[in-house]
Amino acid sequence: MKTLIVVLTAALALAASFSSIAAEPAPSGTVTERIPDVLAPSTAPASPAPDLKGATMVGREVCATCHSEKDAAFDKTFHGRKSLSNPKLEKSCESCHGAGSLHAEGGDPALILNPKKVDSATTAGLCMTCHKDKALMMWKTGAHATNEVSCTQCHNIHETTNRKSLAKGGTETCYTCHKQQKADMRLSSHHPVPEGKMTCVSCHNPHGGIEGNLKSDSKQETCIKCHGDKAGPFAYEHPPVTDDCMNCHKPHGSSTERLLKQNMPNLCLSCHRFPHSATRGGGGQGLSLTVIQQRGRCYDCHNQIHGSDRKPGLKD
Amino acid sequence: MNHLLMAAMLAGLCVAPGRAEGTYEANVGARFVDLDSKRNKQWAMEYDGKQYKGAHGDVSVGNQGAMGLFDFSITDVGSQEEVMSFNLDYKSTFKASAKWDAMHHRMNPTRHGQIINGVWRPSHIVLTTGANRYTFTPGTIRADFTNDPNFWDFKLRRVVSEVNLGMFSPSDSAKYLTLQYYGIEKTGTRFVITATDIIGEANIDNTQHDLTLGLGTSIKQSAAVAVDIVRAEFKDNAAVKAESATSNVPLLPQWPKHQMTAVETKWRYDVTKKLSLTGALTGRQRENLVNLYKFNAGVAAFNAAYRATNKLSLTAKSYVRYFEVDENQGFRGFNNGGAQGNTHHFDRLTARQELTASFRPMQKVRTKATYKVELNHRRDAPSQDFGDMLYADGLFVPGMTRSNNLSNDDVKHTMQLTAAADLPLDAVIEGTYTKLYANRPAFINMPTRQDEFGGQLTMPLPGKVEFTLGATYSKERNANEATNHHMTRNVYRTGLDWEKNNKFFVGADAAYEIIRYNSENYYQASINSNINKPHESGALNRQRNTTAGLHGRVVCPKGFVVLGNGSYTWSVVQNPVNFGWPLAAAGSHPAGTYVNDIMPGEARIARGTLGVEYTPETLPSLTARAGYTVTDYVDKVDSFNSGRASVAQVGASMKF
Repeated sequence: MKTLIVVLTAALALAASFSSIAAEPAPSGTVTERIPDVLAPSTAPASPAPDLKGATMVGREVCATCHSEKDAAFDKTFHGRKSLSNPKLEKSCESCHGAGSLHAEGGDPALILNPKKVDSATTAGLCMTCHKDKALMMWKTGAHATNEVSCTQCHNIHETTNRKSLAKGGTETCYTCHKQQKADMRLSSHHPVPEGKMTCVSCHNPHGGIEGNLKSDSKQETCIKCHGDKAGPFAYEHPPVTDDCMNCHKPHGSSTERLLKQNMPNLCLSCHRFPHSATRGGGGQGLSLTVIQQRGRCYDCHNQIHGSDRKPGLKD
Repeated sequence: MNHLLMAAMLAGLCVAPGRAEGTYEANVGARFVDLDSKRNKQWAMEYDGKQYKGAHGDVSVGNQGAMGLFDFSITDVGSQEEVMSFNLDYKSTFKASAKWDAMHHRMNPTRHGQIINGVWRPSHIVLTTGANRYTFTPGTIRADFTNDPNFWDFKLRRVVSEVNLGMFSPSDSAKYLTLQYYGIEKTGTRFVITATDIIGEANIDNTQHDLTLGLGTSIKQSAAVAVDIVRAEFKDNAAVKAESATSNVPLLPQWPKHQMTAVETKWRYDVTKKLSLTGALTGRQRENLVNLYKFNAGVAAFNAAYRATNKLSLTAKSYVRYFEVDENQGFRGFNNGGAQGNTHHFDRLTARQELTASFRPMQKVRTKATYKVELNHRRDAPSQDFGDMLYADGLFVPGMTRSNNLSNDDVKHTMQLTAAADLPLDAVIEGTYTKLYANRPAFINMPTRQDEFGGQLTMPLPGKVEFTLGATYSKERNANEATNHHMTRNVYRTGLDWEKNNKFFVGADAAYEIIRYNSENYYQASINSNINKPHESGALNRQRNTTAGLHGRVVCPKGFVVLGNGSYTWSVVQNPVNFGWPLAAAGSHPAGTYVNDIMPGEARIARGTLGVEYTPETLPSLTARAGYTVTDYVDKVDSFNSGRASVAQVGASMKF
């Protein structure tokens, strides 16, 4: 209880501080000055942010004289819509691309910051001048950053209207690289991703997580977030369930029922070599032809396979 | 739902002053949908999507201005799968969002069978009697889909609700205070097969609520910390059904109610311009309120990324997770003769260290090496032993022969090498080799040795066409146990994408995968006698999956847009065996019965969608749409599981 009071007090104090923070002006300095100089872990040697010293702001109208198509589309993008109320975007194009006077004079592409043309760490540094929330907390040590995946490979600021500015919409963005997962999702047993009722980010945080790119701190907690009935702890456990859901399941898709790695009885027999024979607490009817005919699927009887409070045999 | 709708509308009115400086847009759409389904719906309509007949509608409203940004939408009204979303952003300081999403998941019986003496025979499953049900004899399910299209049609309805409230510093979004509610409600029915060969209907009615308080702050530009405090509850309200009118055995017992409290902390610190650190510390306790067992878990992670030179970067990751189950020795399992519950749950500690070096010897070549070591320590772990001597392969197998034993530590070493190179004509080639070495497996169907090779070629072709080709081969085995467990997997992938411009995009891809699992299996003829157990020395589970897909979007002249996608899946699952019982067994099988395959399967799934949009040049705010979607599921082994669903729809939407 004391902990809760301390937490709530701190929360209220933090909330109260926002009223003063809200009045803060837009950050000063040019965009390139604001990019944190932390480039780890990229090994990309080329294309750092251009040196725009001496450049001054020219305004969106000047940019539009050449980039009319992008200018016309920008207002419908999420950044375009936010630019009306967010002081960090009040400079419009130059909020991200840097002061444009040098570039505007001769059109030299080397004199403007193009996030698609610089290395992934520089692009991330630019985007993270604003995007600092907890979803991005582990970015710099995450799998995408360490594999030099740039923000602009997934996000398209100029040509998309969705809130996440995803280049190809939700799952298709991920499928661009993760082609095996795309194939797996077409198998008969799959999560409802192709049907649009889940997306990759229902389980994954592409910006880096505590355990791989998962949203939770472990694989089990990721699954339990939706499958609470499997959480337990049960009076009678099934050790591989307690150990790791992936011992039996393939989460992206399977040609066998219920996302299982193999179909039954093979999956179960691969651990339970002598089922119903002389196993611990054994005896019973044995996996005879009769049982095979009636019980090809072990869980038809053992329908509490994830754990039970009723019977050690994990059935009703 | 109604409360969420009202909150969304009120919030929209609050932000309305923003319209003065900004813009306002609303979309209203309606369409008529016709569904035609044939035979079994389980696999053709496993997730119903929006496949219901009738009129469906969509409404969305959005605006933005100096005060902030507001979006509200509700789609698929009338489909029983409505989705509502709401977002409010007040000057990037106060943010509120909500989501409500309904989905249906079919959980119908799927029949299975065996090939015996060369002939496939369905398993003995008896359907119960009652209104809208049929009485059958063992071994048959006489599906009457024509007269009863809802034959054994069970649906689970899942509703996800989410509400987020947050206050953020507009100059630094790392400083925030958030409150999240996340809930899942599942109701409906599912099939279940009972111990007496009867398919029954079990209720589903459970709810899950999570409440998360989040706090975040930053220290200058270089560090930040985020804390989440989570309180979660799971409750099952299902009314338990008895197996039959004369049996008190429930079809499925209620899932136990449990509660969880968790604290999750994440942090980052940019030490220097070359060194970044991140980490996490989490702890949780979940208590089952039926048996009062407690699950305690904690995770600590520490990661560092260091850019040593312009050609070399290093990453180190540490991950430690423990869990323990705090047992209640006073619990007596009901329906188990009052026996004490299991008080030998195992506890586990996992410690993992991962080191990665990325090196770019030249501009066009990238290499990466990763070494990972993982220790798993399991305390008080159960082992699965053969309690009594048995007779197999002409030998007496001593009792207490260890099969699965979790109580020993296992150590896994994984090494991965990756090299990628830019080739002429902007092609990129990449190869990966992964090797696993473990001292022992946790379960006997896990590998102690694994080798995996992977390669991919990406090649741009003239006309903005991109071609990809990839392959993976992996092989694993358990070298420690006599079960001879091993697995091989071959995967081949290819794709062709043509993105001429933002008005023309078509793509195709295909994948072929074959997986083979092998392990020693024994079947039972009699118990602990001197009769050999039927033994499959390399019982095989073979899965062969072929998938292919097409997708495209083409913007045509005169305001027409054509879009479509389709895929074809061909999956074959085989479990070839060859054992039998030369002698008749009382009440089970005649002499000379041989089993050739257990639960074989062959599914061929065709899915396709074709849509056309038309936006008149003279009235650009109006768009008319027509679409057709078909899913055809064919089970080549058992036609009982086959079915088809097709949906045709026409509609229009208007922008204001």
